[in-house]
Amino acid sequence: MVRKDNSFITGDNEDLEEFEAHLKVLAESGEIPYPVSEREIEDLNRECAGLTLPPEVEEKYLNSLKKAYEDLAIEKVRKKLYGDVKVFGRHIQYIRKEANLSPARIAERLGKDKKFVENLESGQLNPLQVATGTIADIMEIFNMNLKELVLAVKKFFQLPPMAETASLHARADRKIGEKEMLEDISMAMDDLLSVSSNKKQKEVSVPEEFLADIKAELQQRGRIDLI
Amino acid sequence: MSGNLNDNELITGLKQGNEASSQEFVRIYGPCLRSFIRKNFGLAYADIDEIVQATFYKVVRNIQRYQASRGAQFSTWVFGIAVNIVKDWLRKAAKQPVFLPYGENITQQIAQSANDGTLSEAGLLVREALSSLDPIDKEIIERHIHGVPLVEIAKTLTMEEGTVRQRKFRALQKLKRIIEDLSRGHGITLGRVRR
Repeated sequence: MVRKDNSFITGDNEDLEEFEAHLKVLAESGEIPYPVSEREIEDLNRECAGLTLPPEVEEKYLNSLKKAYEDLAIEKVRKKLYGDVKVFGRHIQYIRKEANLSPARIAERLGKDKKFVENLESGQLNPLQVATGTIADIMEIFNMNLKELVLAVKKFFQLPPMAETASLHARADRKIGEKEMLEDISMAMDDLLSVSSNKKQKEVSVPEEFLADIKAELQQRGRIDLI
Repeated sequence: MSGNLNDNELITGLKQGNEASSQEFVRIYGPCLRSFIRKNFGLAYADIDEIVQATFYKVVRNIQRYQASRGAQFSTWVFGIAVNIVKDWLRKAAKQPVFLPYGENITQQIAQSANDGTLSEAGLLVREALSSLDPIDKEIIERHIHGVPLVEIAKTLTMEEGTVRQRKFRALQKLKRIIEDLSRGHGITLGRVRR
């Protein structure tokens, strides 16, 4: 297929340097492939026969694959969300569960402990009190953009205090299995309360400076796609 | 231990997210990718490991898009991804916003042309012209325009650096002539680069 794009091939051709620069542009845009031949790869494979990776390097590589599979799972769940946003903590919990990830694993990726993730999900942590870097980490892991974050945080503050007590009650120490079930119940409860409180049109806004800090952080990370 | 780089079972396993396949993939491709980047771009191992990690990540993220039937061998596909990441990395390291061919996002452009195979007329023209060069000259030019230092090219092709420099110069002149001839036939002119 030929893409019609003559935007940069107008005018005349002067010297060799100019010509070289032009070729570099094409190479840069991927139109002239880097010459990796099958022969070269086969040679490499033979050369590398017998080489093993240092264990810490191998672990890094494997972790990279693991992360990619997790992100794929999250992406898949997000596609089924159709833009539905829940109360801040519940939103994260929902995506995490559907993507089959444990709170411990999310904690690991955030560089936090499991308790932090549990508190975050159950709404015992005020999102405005969470460090900017951690919020940005969460946004990156769950591929959540600023608009979505604002909506989830607003819902958090729209939730009547009753929901908090209900969730806290549900989260009290129970037997394993029972706790899982109660988590689902309290998630549904928060959803319900969130819907009913929406009807009352309680207006809340997310502080500008909170958002500005996050914006700056994402910009620094080169994640303008999330802003 | 080496293994079959294009093993179908490995590819299927990776598509299914099989953990044993992940391990196999790292074991076979890890050392290969490391030496490849070391040889071609001469970076430090700390940087190489970062690049290889990013390569593994990107391979898995795009694994469903890989289809053997499209012609490209799995290994060529993986190494191609690695090269793009190296180039991105070099660009960031140099902190120079090198060339912006169509404006915005280069990575997106690369990803796009890699995915749907669209090429601009100029791209097709240059490819055609390159294929009529002597294979060694072609390889020198291709590596050179992808930012590989001449000294590294010399090492890869087991030549003197001076020889590579001379061949590069002559090959560029020749390529330019071929393109000029071809473009007259195509009715296209190669022009100034927007900087």
